[in-house]
Amino acid sequence: MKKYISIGIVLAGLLTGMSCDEWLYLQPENGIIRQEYWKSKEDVHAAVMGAYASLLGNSQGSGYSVPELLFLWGEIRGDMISLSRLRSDFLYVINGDILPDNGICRWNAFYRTINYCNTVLEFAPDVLAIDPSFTEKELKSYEAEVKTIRALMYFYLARTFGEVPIKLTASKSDNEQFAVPKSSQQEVLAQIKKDLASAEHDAPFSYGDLASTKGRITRYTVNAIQADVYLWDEQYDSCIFECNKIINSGFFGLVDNDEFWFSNLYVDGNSVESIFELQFSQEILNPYYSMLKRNKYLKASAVAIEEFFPPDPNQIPDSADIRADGASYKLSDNYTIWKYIGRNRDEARAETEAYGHWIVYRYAEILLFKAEALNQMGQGEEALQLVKTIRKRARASKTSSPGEATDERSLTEFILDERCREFAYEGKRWFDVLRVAKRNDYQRLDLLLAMVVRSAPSDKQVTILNKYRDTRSHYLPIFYTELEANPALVQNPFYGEIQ
Amino acid sequence: MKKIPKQLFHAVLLGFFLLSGLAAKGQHLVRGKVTSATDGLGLPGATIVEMDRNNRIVKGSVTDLDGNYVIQVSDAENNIQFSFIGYQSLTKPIAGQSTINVELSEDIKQIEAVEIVAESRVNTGFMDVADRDLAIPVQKLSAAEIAEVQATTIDEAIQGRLAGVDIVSNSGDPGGGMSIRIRGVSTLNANARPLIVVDNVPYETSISSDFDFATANEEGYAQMLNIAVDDIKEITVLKDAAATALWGTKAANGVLAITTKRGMKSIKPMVAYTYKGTFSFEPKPIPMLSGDQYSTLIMEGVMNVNGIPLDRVENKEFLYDPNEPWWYYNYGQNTNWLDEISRRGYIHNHDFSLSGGGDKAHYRFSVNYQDQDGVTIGTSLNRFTTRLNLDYYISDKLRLGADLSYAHGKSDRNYSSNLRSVAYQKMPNMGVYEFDAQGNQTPVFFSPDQNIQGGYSSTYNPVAMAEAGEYTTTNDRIIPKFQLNYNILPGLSYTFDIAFDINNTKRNYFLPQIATGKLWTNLSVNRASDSDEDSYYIYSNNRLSYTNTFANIHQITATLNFQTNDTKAIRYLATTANSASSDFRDPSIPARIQEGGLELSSSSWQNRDNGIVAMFHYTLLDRYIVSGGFRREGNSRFDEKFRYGYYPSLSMAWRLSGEKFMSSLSFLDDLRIKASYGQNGYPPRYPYAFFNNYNTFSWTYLGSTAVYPVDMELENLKWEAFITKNLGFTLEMFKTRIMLDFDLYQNSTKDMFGYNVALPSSSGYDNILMNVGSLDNQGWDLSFRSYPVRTEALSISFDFNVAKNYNILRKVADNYPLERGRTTTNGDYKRIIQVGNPIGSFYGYRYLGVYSDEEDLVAIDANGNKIYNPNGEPVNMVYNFPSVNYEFQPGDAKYQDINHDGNINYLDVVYLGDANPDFTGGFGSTVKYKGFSLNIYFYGRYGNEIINQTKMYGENMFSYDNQTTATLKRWRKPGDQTDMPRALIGYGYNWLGSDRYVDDGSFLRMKYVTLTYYMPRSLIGKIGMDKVRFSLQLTNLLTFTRYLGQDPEININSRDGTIYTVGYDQSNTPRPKELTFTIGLNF
Repeated sequence: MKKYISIGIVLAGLLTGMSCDEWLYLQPENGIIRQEYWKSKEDVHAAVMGAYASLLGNSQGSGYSVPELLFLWGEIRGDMISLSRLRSDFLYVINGDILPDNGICRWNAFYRTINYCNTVLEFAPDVLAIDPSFTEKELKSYEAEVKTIRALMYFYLARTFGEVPIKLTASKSDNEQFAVPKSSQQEVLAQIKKDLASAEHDAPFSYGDLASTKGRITRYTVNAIQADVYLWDEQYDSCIFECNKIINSGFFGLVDNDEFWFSNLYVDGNSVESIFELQFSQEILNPYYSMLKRNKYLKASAVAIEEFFPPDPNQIPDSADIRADGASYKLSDNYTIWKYIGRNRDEARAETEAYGHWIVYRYAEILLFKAEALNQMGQGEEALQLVKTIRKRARASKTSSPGEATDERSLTEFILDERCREFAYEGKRWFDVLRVAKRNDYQRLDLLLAMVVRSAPSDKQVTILNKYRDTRSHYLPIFYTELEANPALVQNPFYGEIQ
Repeated sequence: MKKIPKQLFHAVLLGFFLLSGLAAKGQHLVRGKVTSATDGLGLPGATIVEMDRNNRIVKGSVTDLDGNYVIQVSDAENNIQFSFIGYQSLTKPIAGQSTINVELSEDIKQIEAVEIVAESRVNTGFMDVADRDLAIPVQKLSAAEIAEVQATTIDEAIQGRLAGVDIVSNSGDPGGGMSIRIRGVSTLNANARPLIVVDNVPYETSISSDFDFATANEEGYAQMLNIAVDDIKEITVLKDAAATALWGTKAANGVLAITTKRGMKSIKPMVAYTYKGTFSFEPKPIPMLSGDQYSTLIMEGVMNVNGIPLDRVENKEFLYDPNEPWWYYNYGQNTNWLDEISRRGYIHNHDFSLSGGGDKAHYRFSVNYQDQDGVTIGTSLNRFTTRLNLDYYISDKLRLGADLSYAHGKSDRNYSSNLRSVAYQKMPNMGVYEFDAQGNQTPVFFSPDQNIQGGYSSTYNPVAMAEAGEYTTTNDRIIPKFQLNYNILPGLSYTFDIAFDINNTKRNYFLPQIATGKLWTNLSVNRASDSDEDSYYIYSNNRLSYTNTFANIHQITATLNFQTNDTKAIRYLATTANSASSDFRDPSIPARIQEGGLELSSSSWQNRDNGIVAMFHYTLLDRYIVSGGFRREGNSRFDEKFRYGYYPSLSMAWRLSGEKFMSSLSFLDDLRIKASYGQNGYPPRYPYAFFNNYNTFSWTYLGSTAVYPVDMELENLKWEAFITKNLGFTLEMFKTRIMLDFDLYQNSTKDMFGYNVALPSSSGYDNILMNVGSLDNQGWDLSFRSYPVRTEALSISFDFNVAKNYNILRKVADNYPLERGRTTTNGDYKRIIQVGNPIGSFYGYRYLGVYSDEEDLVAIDANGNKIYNPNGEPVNMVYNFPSVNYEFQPGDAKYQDINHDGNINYLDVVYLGDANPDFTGGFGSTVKYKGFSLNIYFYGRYGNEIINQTKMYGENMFSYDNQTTATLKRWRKPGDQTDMPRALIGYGYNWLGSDRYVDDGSFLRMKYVTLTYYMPRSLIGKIGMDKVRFSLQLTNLLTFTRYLGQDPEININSRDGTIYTVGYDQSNTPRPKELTFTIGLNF
């Protein structure tokens, strides 16, 4: 019997003593967990690169990616494009039926990038204590980069949706309160300015190599965004002040209007004119080739081309506006939007070469920002000179000039039109027109209405005009899933009644 | 596996320890002669073994040619056993003797039939309890009941046969798999599949869940359940937590316990062979428009949008100009794409088994081979399974069991899972093969890169895809299982089980250029993918069980178990594109790998859990039964905070029929009232959720690695908890001629998991896994079996089962979205979940037909009067004022203006139906007359609604997809009276979610009818046969339904893993009608 007792004891020991926690603690082998990350400056670097990489495409989640939205938000409600093939999301926008279920109203890709930035800001400082080779200065520099990216994301969101939630902490655990309510546009702009002010102090002027200097945030990138923000916020002297920092730096200039202009500026990228551009590569192709060439959902609008690049019977083709046929669009390819497609002015790229960069800011825009601000400050003459610099480089045709624009009103239109020509299909159009239209309490709403009518289908013009007269409709509705998931969110005013 | 779990090591040590109790004693030589009692001659080759007190064989020897033997025994106190084939064995004590001569007499009784009288017992896992003593809801199906049925898989064989078990096949494709639900969907978790247990070892069917959560579906892993139907002895369904407590949290969705056949003690080996041959025919598909009808519709639909005709110079697909022969011929056909991809299918199935056994060892060996071609071109299944079950009785006290099963399966599917839907939608004016520029037909598939309908992947040439595309899954699975059983004392025994499961799945995909027509540099061209998924599973269990009866009135059974599960899985994946030729189909051949979408990746995960279970079963006076248990489970998917779950269970039964006051009702065999209560839990579907995981982008930025946080740390994630309550009775009457089981149950799910719960994306994430609320499943199930006639020559049985399940949402988390779907979007339904209501309801508009003419458009108020605007003009109906303000046109779909405001908007949305059936069940009968047997079985569902997406997309006239012939009656000109709106390509609101697409999903299907003939034994006995049978079976021959879609038997699964999308019919391959011929031979 003793034997059985001893067996019983052994068994009892076996059954109770073995359920060790250790055996049940398993870590993933093919990934890394936060507790194991944030150990060296290389980790910080890779996480900062993660924020940039998220600007090129979706790593997770669904919906349009950041680069697609940069294009669509800037262009789809503008007058430069028309629908080439059926795509319901686009058709409904063009017909003025923007509902909260339209995919272009999804902002998730932007907030994903914002969260990556927030994550760096929250955990990178811990590395200082762990990695002795990581300096305070390097940390500040990295922080400046992600703060600027975050500010840029919020700036797009504020201009597109008007009011958006502000989230400044990393979403690291489900303990957080996720139902963040919207902040007003002014609050968002204040946050953006704060981030940019801090970033300007720490961002480097250069990263040594050309690609990084153009592909990462430098102090001039910060200044460019600041200029844009101040212009939007009608703080013209601040805008001019920021523009001057870039103009006086001596780092930038306009690309010559010779035969290599197109390939220097758009095909090869990282030109002397470029301030910040997203560096697509063979590993991650840009989404524009698929959207504009392979599937060709969108093409250049014939009406807009008539309007902005009117043919000049007196001009020989070789000396025509360099930004017209063969640069912004390609007539012989059935109005294909050419900036991201052309290998040069005549040939298209192969699909596998579709890694043309997305230019966020370039020097020409700084000049036109300054011109716009100067015009508002009553310094029209100086502004006109800047516009002429741009036009001269572009060999702009006289037919596209209103003659001598002297008064503030006509110069405003002239600058706006010139921006349209210069930055055609660079995701600027809608924001430009809205900025000008809303100035001084929608003094120039006529410009926005004129644009809308230009691109609207004839049978929809009345409906669309009525809709856009309500200035609340200038901001997109919040995508319906956001409202479902976030009880603190309220639909944007114009769309509020829609269930 | 790097580290052997400590428990395992200890367990093995313990095993040795237990065996070492057998100590050696002094040695001794014994000699003698074995002779035959019949003729007195020596028996050469007879076996002589020394056996100890427990009949354990210690030593052995054989006799020489004259029957003499010598054996050196280790203990002179042991016994010696003498045996020879055809003779009765004899055991003699040695008792110190050195010479023992024996005579063996011939065994003449051996061939006589043996009738075994025993009560039927049910295997609930670790405790064998007599059926009649059960207090828990359990249902059983024995092999005999399904033996005559042709079925590829077990789930198919038992479909509709068990009350409360809803089994629906995912599609009609070979290896398509079944989704199984026991007593409704207990959780929002898409993986609500019950645990499959084979011979007391859990059988993993969701190995790959970690690899591809987004697309993981049961179909993909279905072929893992590859156990030959012929090997099954019995299937037991354990329905509630009191019953499943033994299996722990894996069993939270119920258990399907499968017991395979084992060898039995018999003298001569038994050989059985069965062949089944099946032809399958596809039911008639929904008729689609011909090429000419289609072109007319498209041109009309484009014109209707804004009055501008289709530009036929840009879109020559509709040009029909003989001067452009290439376009004229290639786009001037009338192709029936569905016919082109369909064919007749067949199945060949061979089963062979060999079983037998002697005193010491029993064996059963089986081989199954199955070869199946599906009704869609390019689908097939080829499977080989073998199984060996061995039992060796070392002694009366010690038994060793070893089971080994190996399965090799290869299934071919279409590269694209949407082949059939593409065939439905494909432009019928295109041809299958290309015509050249002169208009001559070529043998090359016609696969243009792009046309008006789009390109790959939304559309392609389905025939080219079926013929040339490749998607092969090869699966090898080895499951060795060992069991050691030691009877320590009478009534007390110890069992050690260890099982390994090695499962290798290789998937090869290849997408040839010809299937898509893409340019050679496109990344879809010659895209080859090869993935290897290996999983290793180790299961161990130490069990101490005790059974005893005291004073003839107390019967007690108790067990104590310690279990461990350890699963590790790894995967490698390579995807390349643009290999030089369509013959280079393996990614190992150098091709492009660098670009986006192509990859070389690997992943791995591991999961562990352990459980301590104590259980008892106590019977007093054969009338009062109590059983209960307690389980503590630890799981590696949780952090310390919630790592352990504690689950008690208790059940009771009272046998009324055993009471004295019932004794007058002598026809009652058994009447028992049962009540049970149990708790269980469920861990999340994937591991590492309690970490904040980081990963790298598949691209770099400026050449630098880019890292991002993949998810959040889930600090608050708890076990999904189940509480089940069951009350029922079992009735057996008239010598088991009538058997009735009825159970009422309530299953509550607390802290239910919500996968992909929408999160405000301002957090940076779109969704999260969280505990979202509570859900109750309550209902009843009834099972009735009867043998109205049971004589030697004629027997008739009739079975019937029916079940009803209600689900009710009890609670949801604050931020859990209660609504899904937009009524403003074409084709979408609003799905609202409300606390206190069932989930799975759809809301939408009421469809009233079509606005026939201008007059019809005028808005009418509640009193039936026209609505006027301030200028005194009548107002027309509008859609969604003010944000859309679309004015309805003649020919547009007319929705009911519920609130009579002249505006169709969200205020007009009403309840349209729900996806939950009122009843599910089946009934059948077997009639046996002499050698003939007729078996017929029906099953069905009643009272559920289906969103008929086949109809939705076949009648919307919204895109360039082909439409059904129902659209021929569409509205064309003012005054047309019809219920089919006008064609409106890419615009309008003609197919908003409305009752137009909500159909009654009730059906009754004749699952099979089988006629079997057994040849008389007198005839076949002469040629040495034991049993010969022939049978003919018709499967899925008849379906009674009002449903107008392809097949009302739709998957119970939700489409995307959330509860919002149940009840959608996506028109997969319909279940084919089959004709099967079977020959069974037993030797």
